[in-house]
Order: sequence, then C-alpha cells, then structure tokens
Amino acid sequence: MFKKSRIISVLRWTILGGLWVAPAAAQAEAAPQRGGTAIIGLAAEPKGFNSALTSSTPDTVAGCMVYEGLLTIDTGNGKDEISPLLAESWDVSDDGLTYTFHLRNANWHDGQPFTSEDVRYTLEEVAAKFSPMFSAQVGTNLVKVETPDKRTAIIQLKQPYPTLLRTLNCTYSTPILPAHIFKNTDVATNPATTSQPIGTGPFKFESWQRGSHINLVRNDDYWEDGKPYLDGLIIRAIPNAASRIQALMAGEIDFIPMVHFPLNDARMVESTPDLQIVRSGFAPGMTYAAFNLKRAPFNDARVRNALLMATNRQFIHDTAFSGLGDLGRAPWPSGIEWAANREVNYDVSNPYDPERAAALLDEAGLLAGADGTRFSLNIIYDSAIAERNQVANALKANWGAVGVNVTLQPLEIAVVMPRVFKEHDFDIYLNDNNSYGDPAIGVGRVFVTESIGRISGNAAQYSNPEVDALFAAGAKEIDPDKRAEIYQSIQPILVRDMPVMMLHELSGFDGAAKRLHGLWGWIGNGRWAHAWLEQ
Amino acid sequence: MWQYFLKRVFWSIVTIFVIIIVNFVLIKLVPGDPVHAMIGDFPAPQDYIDQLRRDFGLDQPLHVQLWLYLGNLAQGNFGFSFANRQPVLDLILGRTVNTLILILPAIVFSAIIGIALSLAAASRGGGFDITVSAITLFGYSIPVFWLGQVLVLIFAIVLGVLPTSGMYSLRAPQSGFGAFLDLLRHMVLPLACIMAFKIAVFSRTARASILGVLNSDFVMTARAKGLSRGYTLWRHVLPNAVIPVIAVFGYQFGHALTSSLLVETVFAWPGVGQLFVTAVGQRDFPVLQGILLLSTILVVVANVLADLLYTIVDPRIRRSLGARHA
Amino acid sequence: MRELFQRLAGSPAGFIAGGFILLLIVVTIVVPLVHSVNPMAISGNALFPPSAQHLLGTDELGRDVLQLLIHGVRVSLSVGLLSALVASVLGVLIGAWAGYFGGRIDMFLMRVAEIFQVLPTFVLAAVIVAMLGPGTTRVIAVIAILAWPQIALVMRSEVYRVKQIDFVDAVRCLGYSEIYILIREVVPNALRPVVALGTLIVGQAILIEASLSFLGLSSPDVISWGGMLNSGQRYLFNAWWLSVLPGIAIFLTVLAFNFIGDALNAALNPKDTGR
Repeated sequence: MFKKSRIISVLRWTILGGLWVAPAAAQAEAAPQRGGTAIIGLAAEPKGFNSALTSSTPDTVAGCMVYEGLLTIDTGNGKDEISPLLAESWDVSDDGLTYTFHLRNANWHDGQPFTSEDVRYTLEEVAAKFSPMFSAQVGTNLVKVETPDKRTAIIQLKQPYPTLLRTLNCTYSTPILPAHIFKNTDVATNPATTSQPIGTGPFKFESWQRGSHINLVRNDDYWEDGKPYLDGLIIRAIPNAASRIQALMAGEIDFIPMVHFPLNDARMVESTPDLQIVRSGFAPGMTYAAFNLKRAPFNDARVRNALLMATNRQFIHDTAFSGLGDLGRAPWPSGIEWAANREVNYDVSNPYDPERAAALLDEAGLLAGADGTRFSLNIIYDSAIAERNQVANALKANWGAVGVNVTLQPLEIAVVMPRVFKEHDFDIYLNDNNSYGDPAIGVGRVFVTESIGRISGNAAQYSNPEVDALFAAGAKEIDPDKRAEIYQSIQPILVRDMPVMMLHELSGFDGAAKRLHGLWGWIGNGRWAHAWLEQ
Repeated sequence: MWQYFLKRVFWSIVTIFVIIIVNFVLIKLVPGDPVHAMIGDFPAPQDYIDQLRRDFGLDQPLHVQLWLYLGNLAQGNFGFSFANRQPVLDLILGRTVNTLILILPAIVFSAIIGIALSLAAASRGGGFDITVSAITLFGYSIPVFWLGQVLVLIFAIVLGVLPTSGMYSLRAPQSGFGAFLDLLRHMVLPLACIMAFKIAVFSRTARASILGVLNSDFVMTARAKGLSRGYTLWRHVLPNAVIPVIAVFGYQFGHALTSSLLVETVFAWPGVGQLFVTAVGQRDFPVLQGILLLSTILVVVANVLADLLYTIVDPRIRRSLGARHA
Repeated sequence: MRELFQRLAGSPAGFIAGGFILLLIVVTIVVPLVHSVNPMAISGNALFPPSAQHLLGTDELGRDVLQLLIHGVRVSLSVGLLSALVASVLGVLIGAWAGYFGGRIDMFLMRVAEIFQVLPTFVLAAVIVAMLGPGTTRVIAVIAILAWPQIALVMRSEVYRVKQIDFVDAVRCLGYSEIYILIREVVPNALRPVVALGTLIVGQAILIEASLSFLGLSSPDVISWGGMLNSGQRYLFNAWWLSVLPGIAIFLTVLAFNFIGDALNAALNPKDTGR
C-alpha cells in the first residue's frame, strides 16, 4: 500500500565544506565547546514568536528558536534535502495524497508531552487558515490530519502536491504549536504568540526588554542529546543599518542574518579579521525588475528586451552585491538546478550592449528627443533595503545612457505592496523574490494569471494561458523528471515575453563573528541547537 | 493672577484638542496599507486580511475612525500597535523611561553648563567670551546625527573605549553598582551629542538675559557703589539671569520625548525616538499618533508649569501680568 | 541696513562667513553652466579614496564625491533660503497685522502662533514628509509653516513698539490710511530684527532638511548633503570621506548663516545678543 521511502535521520556535519561554506570545513574539525551566549542583531524587533501568522524575518528568527517544524531542509554542501526534525521519519503514498509522519518523543517547555494532536491542531486550525504560505499553497487542498496514536500524524490531501514536505518547516510559516495552550483561544493574541512562547525547540523564552532585546535560555530537556551547546541567545534590535554593522564590527553582536545583513557591506565585514561572511541556508532567490505590461511603452516586448540589454548586470553584481551571489541570466534562479534550462541565458539573448539597446528602442519608435530623452519611467522599490537603492541608482544611470529618463521612488514596504500588486500604479517594480526552493511555491506566483492582484504575486500582470497551464501541471506532477521537463519548457517563453527581468541571482549571506561555529547548512537562520561559540 | 492661569489652562486644553484633530487628519492621509506591513512578504488569504481590517476598524469611514479614536483617547486607550502587537500607551510609556534616562541628565547638565559658561564669559570677558560664543555657535550648527557617527568612529571603533550602541552590555550583564556604571558607559556618547546642542540653547538664552541684567540700572548702581564684579554677578546678575532660563527649561523638558529622536537612531537607544523612526517606516499609525499627542501634552503641561514657576520667582512679572497679556 | 552689512564685512569672521556663502551661491549657479558632467554617472571606480583623479574620492557607485558635493549645495541652499524667506513673509504679514491692529485678530493670530510653537517641529516635519513623500518643495513648505511663528512674534512686538513712536502719529495726521502707514512707515522700521532671525532660520532649515534626508526621507533623484550622509554612514569604516565630508559641508554652511545671524543681531541690538 505504501511505497517505502523512509528516510533515516542522519546528521551530515561530517561532510560539510566545499565551495560556499568554506569556514564550515574548519568547523567540522574543531570540537564543539559548550556554554556562552550568542547575540543576534536584527533590523527590527519581532512582533511576536509565531511564524504561522507571518513570514516577517524578525518573528521567524525569534520564533524558530523556540518553536520547531515537523521537518527542516538540509542545505549543507550544496544539497537541498528534506530532513527530519519533530517528525523522525515519514512515508508518502504512491498516489501522493497521504503523508504519514512518525513523531519524535519530545516535551513542550512547560513539561507537557508533544503529541500528534499538536500536529493536527496546528495544521488544521492554524496553518491552513492563517499561515501566509501553508494556507496559500495547501489551504483547502488539506482534507484532514488523522491522529491514529500519539506518535503518528497522517495528512490527507485532495490533490497531489509534491512540494508539501518543503512547506512543513518553521521558517516557512509552519511551526508546530502546543494545542493545550492554543486550543479555544485567539491565536493572534494568545501570549504564546505575542510574548510568552512555549515550544519544543532548543531555547526557552526568558525575558523581553521591549525595544532592546529578548533573552532566550538553553532548554535542558531538548530532545536531541547534548544540544544545544549554547547557554543562551540574545536577540537584539538595531534598526539603523550603520549602527548594526558597527555593533558587529565592535564585537557587541555575533550574528546578523541575511536580509538584515546589508550585502553591500559584505567586503568591509569580510576584511575585518574577527568576522566572516557565510552563505546562509536560504533557498535561491532573485532581484528582479517587473515591467507594468499594461502601460506603454512597456507593453512592447522590444522595449523590455532593450532595457535588459541596457543594463550592466555585472556592475550591479560587483557593487550592490559585493560580488556575492551571481548575475541574473534566466527568468528564475538557476540555483533550483533541476528546473533550470541551460539553453536560456541572458548573456546570449540579451547581453549588455547599450548600442543594440538604443537601436532596438529606435526600432520600437521611441526616438530620442532634442535633449536626448526617449521617454521617462519610474522605478518603485522598498526603501528599507540598502542594496536595492544601489541597484535602482545603477539602473537609473544605465538606462539614462540610452536616453531613458528614470525617476526613483523608494517607498515604505507597506506603501509599495498595495500600490504595485493591487493598484498596479508603477512603471518598473524592483523587488526580491524567494523561490522557497521550488518553482511551484515561490516562482509561479510571479508569472501566473491567478496571482495578479495578490500581494507578492504577479506585479507585471503577465497573463499567458500556456504558461499558466504549464505551472499548474508542474505543481501536480509527481514524477521528478517530468516535473523538470515542464518547468524547463517554461523558461524560453518567459525570456521571449520578458514580463520581468532577473537582475541578480541572490543568495543569502549572514555576517558573523568567526568564533561562531556549527550553525550553517540548514534552511532558515541555521540550526542554533548545533551552534557553538569558541570561548 | 488666578484668572490668568485659568486662561492659560483653557488655552492649553484647546491646543491639545486642536492637535488631536490635526494629528489624526495628518496621519490618516498617509498612503499605504498597514495590513501588509503586518503580514510580511508572502501572499496571505483574503479572509485573514479582512479579519485584520475588521479587528482594527480600518474599513470604517474616516469620521467613524476619528470618533472611535476620540472615544478611546478619553478612556486612556491610545490604540493598538499592529507592528508591535502591543497597546500603544504601554509601548510608548515603556520606552519613555529609557528616553528620560537619557534626556533628563542632558537637560539638567546642559542648563548648568550653559549658565556657567555664559556667566564665566560675562565675568571674564574678552577672549573667553569669544571662545564661549564660538562653542555655542558650533553646538547650534553641527548636525547631531553626524556628530554621533563621528564620535562612534573615534571612541568606539578606533579607540574601542566605549560601546557603539545600546543601553546595556548584553554580553556580561552586571547588577547593582556595576550595572549603573555600565549604563553610564553607554550614555556617554549619546549624551554628548544631545548636550552639544542643548548647551548652546541654554547658553544663548542665559547670555542674552545676563547681558540684559548687566546693563540694567540696578547693576550699574551696584557697580557704582563699588561692589566687586564677581559679587555683583553672584548676588544680582545670576538670580535674575536664571529666570528666563526656566522658560527654556520648561520648553526643553516638554520636548524630551522627541529631542533625542535622531540621536537614539544613531545609537540604537531603545527609547521613544527609535520607536518613532521605526513606526514611520512601518506606517504604524497609532504609535505615531500616540507619540505626537503625548509629546504635545508634555510640552503644554511643562510650559504651563514653567510659566507658573516663572511668575512665582519673578515678582516683577506678577505685577506686570495684566499689561503683558492684555 | 546697508551700514550693517558693511560693518559685518569689516570683521574678519563676518567676511569669511559671508564670503563662504557667496562662494556657495556662485558655485551653485556657475558650475552647471560651465561643467556639463553628469554627477549621477556611475563608474567601476567604487569607493576610491581621495586622489589626484578624484580629489575627494568616489562613492559606492563610483560617483565623484566633489561633483556630488557641488551639486548638493543647491538643495541645502534653496531649502534654507526659500523656507526662511517664506516663513519671514508669512511671519512679517501676520505679525505686522497683529501688532498694528491688535484686538481680537491679534489674540487669535497669536494663539495660532502659540499652538504652532508648541508642536514638536522636527517630528511633525518628519511625519508630513513621510506622509506626502519626499520633495524639495514640500520640505520648504513644511519648514516655513512651522517656522513663521518665531518671526511673527518678533514682528508683532516690534510693530507694537514702532507704532507708539511719535512720528507714526505725525504721519497719521497727514491723512494717510492705516494700511498705508503700516506698510510704508511701520513695517520698514520694524524689519531689522526679522532679518537677523530670518538668517538664523536659514541655518535651522538646512539642518532640518539634512536630518530628514538622514532618516531616508529625501528623494534619491536629487543630490543632497543629507542624502549623501544617509548612504555614506554605512561606509564609515572603509570610506570615511563619504560621511565626513558632507557632514563638514553642512556644518560649515549652517555655521556661516548662524554666525551672520548672530552678528546682525549683535549689531542691531548691542545690549541683547541673544534671541
């Protein structure tokens, strides 16, 4: 009845190393030391600890120290594998509709045992309704969660959804919550969401000095023997980017996670003897520019292609991203290797060539006026992210060189979101996108008709039935080879139509003290249960 | 005299009320939807967004929101901060203590140093006077946030003798007197920045009134009687020169919540200023409203109190009140 | 008024301050005319320290810092001068009216001025700019609206003083209208302290603009010193010139205006050099 694909819990710390976790190779050799308190610096204070209600980074960082998901994703050594966490192992039925999870023997921080009822409650009553990701991706596709015994939870789906396992981790908005605390309460205002989290994780909540920092202490009763190594963790909010970096350089904090670590400071941090830049375990992402296809002249594919040719992606890569990550060459990150079509390459189809770009604009009828200006456009972007401002300035200069007059509009994220995704009041929208490691989760939303009008969805308002059908087929296909084929066939269409152009292939990079070890190689902000400080 | 104070109090209440309305209208005109700042990056189900809107009254017409707002204010309810998942009043009051820890010593020391400098300048004159004027002018002209950055560069990064930011050493928490010393270490640089400006404010005011007193008839008479310059300064000039400083003191105290805004940002000081800057970024309406309103109330109250003090200290004003406020 | 400026230019410090402002004005007007380099043009030479090629170094996009500073003068000066001008005009009109005619209008105007004075200026300016979006005109308008009461209160008491001087009665006997007397006789004689205060407001306005830009509340399309500080603060360690130089530029400019304001004040009113 069940295809046995039982995966055994293996900790892969012995085979770390390789290209992008260079410091980790050294970590594997040194013996972990116990004790010490690590200090994490964030750009904003968390609003709470419940990542089932939000995907904002501060809540996720703080929350996922205390709460844990059923699974995690092992990204060590270039891998991208689902790994056990609160679920020790799992089975998937042949039809892809039934997922059986065998749960670990663990306790909540208040001493109550963790059971299958907690899983049922969390997935059915919280995640399916409120989780930004689980509700959008699984939501009504979830029939029910069965609990035959305390250590077994069975998820029943209506339709196959091969990426389900990827959504079941704390960072991606599915932490397992204690049913005995949350049941029959308002999840959003329950103290376990807002101020007093009670999880199964390696660290327990101790105190919160509002506006300054949160104290977490070691969970001595943690299910993984001998972990965590650290006595405690402090999460500190330092909103001003310059002050945050200064605190890291002065040794007042040990770690700044990606997103909150400004990439254009990377070289400076790297050249400081005590500090390191480490690639975090985040899924491949991209910085992209979306064209408003409903506005002239962006409704002309020649104009879109010309603007890509006028863009010096190498310069953006070198300056704004300090040479970290990679140049944008395809419609979505090539880091999702199995779904990448190697035939597709901007360097071939749209190389940086201002003269060709100008010729193409001439061809589209956009001739330069007396002052050399062909037309004007605005670029809208989130003002809070330093490197994006730098990208926008580079585009302004690049496009200005071919006679396009650019106005920059950095706005608060709360203003940008409805304006771009709902009101479609923009020319060019500059944004980052997290692929979540699978085109079905994080990439399709940028291109499919269905997500026009949805926040973080299809800003360009691109609508192509062929593309819609292919993305829909890909999301349901269980056979990996067929899935890969489907996605690879979408890429050439997206280059031809060019609704968005990928400027840079993002990788997450954390800034950290060199004495911090053992953390990296896992999705999210690393696995803090395994982190240790050199004394 | 009582009639005068009743008038003052009445106008203070009018001022606060006007500002409530102004604040409300201003802040409600901000474009953008706070719901999205709350959810984060990933698409959320419409049900959830609708629920947030209902819960926080965002779908009501503006005048209904204003009515709700006024009603809530009357009950001491300043609203709920989406971004912080905390009642606004708790949030602001929680940070107020941290801001006062920074600002009160800054104002007191600035007032003392400012008065002392201008007195010394008045008594020594010449080169010293010019030096004091120059210091004052510098403090008045320097961008405090920039001064903060430069101080961090010199004292925290290059010399490494003081912390870059924050209020406490998180790495080695102290208790008792050690904790107090630790706090002092963290206060030195932000305090220096705030005081650079405030010393200038106080010394300008004091200098103006000292010169006024020095040139007044009774001081001329005292000097003519052969009393020493120092004695005259101490017994006659100082008491009279301090009086206008009280008014400035009230004003500065009233602005306590907001005057450290830029400095708190630079030094990651967990006070009201930092809360405000973050709230602007998050479009956290209720927090902005709360800070504007609370600081306005504080200014108004401080001004009335300063006025009261002023009148008690200076009998001449008591007598001339009728003429001044006709 | 002319002898005032002559006396000012006679003192070495006043001469330097005045000369500095004059230089800034000339630079603002002349440089764009004779020098057509686009200061926003990027280059691969990012974060180059000061050298013969780039006298004051380059920024994170390889732009020449000297060029940026020169183009940034315009924003600081126009915000400073225009907002002080608008505030002064508003303040003079309102203050003169209130001081000359007195009565209920005086009461009302002065109450309004008081309410404005109580507002936490910088916070309100920050909220308004955050709300309406950045823009030089908006910043000027906001600063002017928040600064006029200072002028109005001074103007009111000056007008009140001047109108009690005998010559006003003498003019009135000649049969001129009250408005005529106010505009032709009273206001010109009451203007002197306003000039000094207005000069000080220029300095305040430049600082407010820089502070707003530092908080990120300025348009990235416009080069401003505060904006340069905002992006440059991040490179304090490896490119000190990006934050130190614009800071010095702001400081010197504000200092020059404040110095002149103070000197004017002292010259006008030798007994009382304060505000």
